[in-house]
Amino acid sequence: MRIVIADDAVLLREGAARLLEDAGFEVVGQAGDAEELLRKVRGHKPDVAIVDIRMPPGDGAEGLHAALQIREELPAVGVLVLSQYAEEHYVTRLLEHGAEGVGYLLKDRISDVERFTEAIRRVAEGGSVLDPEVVSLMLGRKRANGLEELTEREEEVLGLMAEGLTNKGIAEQLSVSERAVERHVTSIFAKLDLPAGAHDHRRVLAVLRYLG
Amino acid sequence: MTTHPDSPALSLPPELHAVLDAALDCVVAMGADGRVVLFNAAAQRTFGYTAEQAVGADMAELLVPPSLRARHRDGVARHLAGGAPAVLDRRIEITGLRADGSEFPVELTVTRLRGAEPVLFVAYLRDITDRKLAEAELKASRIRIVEAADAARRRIERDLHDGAQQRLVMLALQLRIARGRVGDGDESAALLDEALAELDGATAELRELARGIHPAVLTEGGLHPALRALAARSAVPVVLQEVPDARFAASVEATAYFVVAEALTNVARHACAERATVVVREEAGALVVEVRDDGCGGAAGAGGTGLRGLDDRLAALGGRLSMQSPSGEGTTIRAEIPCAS
Repeated sequence: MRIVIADDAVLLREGAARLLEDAGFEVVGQAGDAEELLRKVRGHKPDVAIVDIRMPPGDGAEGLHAALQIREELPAVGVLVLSQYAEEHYVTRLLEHGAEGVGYLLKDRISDVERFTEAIRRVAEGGSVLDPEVVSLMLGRKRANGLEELTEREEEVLGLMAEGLTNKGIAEQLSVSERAVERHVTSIFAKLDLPAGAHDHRRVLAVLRYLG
Repeated sequence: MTTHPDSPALSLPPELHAVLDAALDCVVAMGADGRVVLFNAAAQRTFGYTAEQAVGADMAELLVPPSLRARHRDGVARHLAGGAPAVLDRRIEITGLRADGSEFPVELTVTRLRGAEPVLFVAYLRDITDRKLAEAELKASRIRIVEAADAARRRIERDLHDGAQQRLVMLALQLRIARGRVGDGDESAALLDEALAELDGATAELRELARGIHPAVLTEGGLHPALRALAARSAVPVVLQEVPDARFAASVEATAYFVVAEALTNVARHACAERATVVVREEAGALVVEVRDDGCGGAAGAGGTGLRGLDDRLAALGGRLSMQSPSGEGTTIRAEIPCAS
């Protein structure tokens, strides 16, 4: 799997690149700012671009803008955005035009190699990845404003759906059968009056829209 | 006190003239016809006319800027026709006109001398150019202090983001690599796991600290996303009833944000509330921020809380902060921040 990684913190970027190489990924390009990132992504057409949200020259979210541009220009390239902050605003903007092949993770997640590489694979395959902390903030707010009556388990499943996990992923995470997860999902969709039958990234969008 | 039939000047005993000439304030008297009958030494210095030039001249022509003359004459006429005095016997600030044509701010009291026949108006004026300048300088300086504080907060957040936060991520990366090389049975494994857990905690704490100093999303996305994020983190459920999507000056946005942040902290700490409601709206050139809770109310004045610092910040921007907290009826914090947009 071919990766371009962009971060203005050189040590961190190289550390992450080494970690990814060790895990069997091919890091075909590294970039220190948004412009270089776009150039390398256009040149290499990687499977996934890993993008730090905040890069020079600005003080805002240049990485986010670059990520959105990649999604528009090269929809086949998965984009995984890394940020120091669990910021719903960035997630909302990142997923404005769909959740297919896109992810948003807190930066410190990269040290958890297994989960990090798993996230990259999911994004490469067109899935979505959303940091659990962002999801838990959204869930917390929704709960405060009146989340429909869900069982504790259903709330857990709802959160994992928002994180972008498939039923299989959720089943593994909760150590239950896929059938059990399916039952929970059906029940949640009925209770929340969400369009049934939505799968994968469409399901993520439906859940996030509900939580937003 | 009468005017001499062949001289327009008010005829006063010489001692009284001396008394008036020694006054620091300008003393100018005018008859019903609008002509100057008295022009003391301070008036001569301030306006640049000699007494001979001033006395007998039309007061409005002499001392009132052209743009204000019509209003001045209307006022005098209305008063003489029996209308209620609009400006008599109170302190007003207005613009004066010097002999050289320059205009300047004056503080003024006009009185109609009781019992004087014919009618006599006496004005006491002082040039407040210096005070106005000092006030403007003070105001600008206070705004600069607020802006400098905001800039410092943004810089600290940026430095934490690019410095300590990155280093901690690096450190976690290295520790995980080390942990990967140590077998589960090794006694170093437990130590490394502990270190990693501690590091996770430190990273999360630093993240919230940096966000509290200055949320990057406020600079990048404005009040709406920043307040949403704040609401999601609040210990007490928060309803964002209304928040404009529009952008405002950085100091206005930061002030509104910190008012809500501080108010919500207080709600969580003291109010025994089940819910807080936040409303931010633009009203007549000001951004009005209101945080209401359904708690026990009865909160003491803003002095005892972190709102005190915000009071100063608001005053610096020309705004104000108020609190209503009737016992048993919850607390409302309201801030008005001028935002000429």
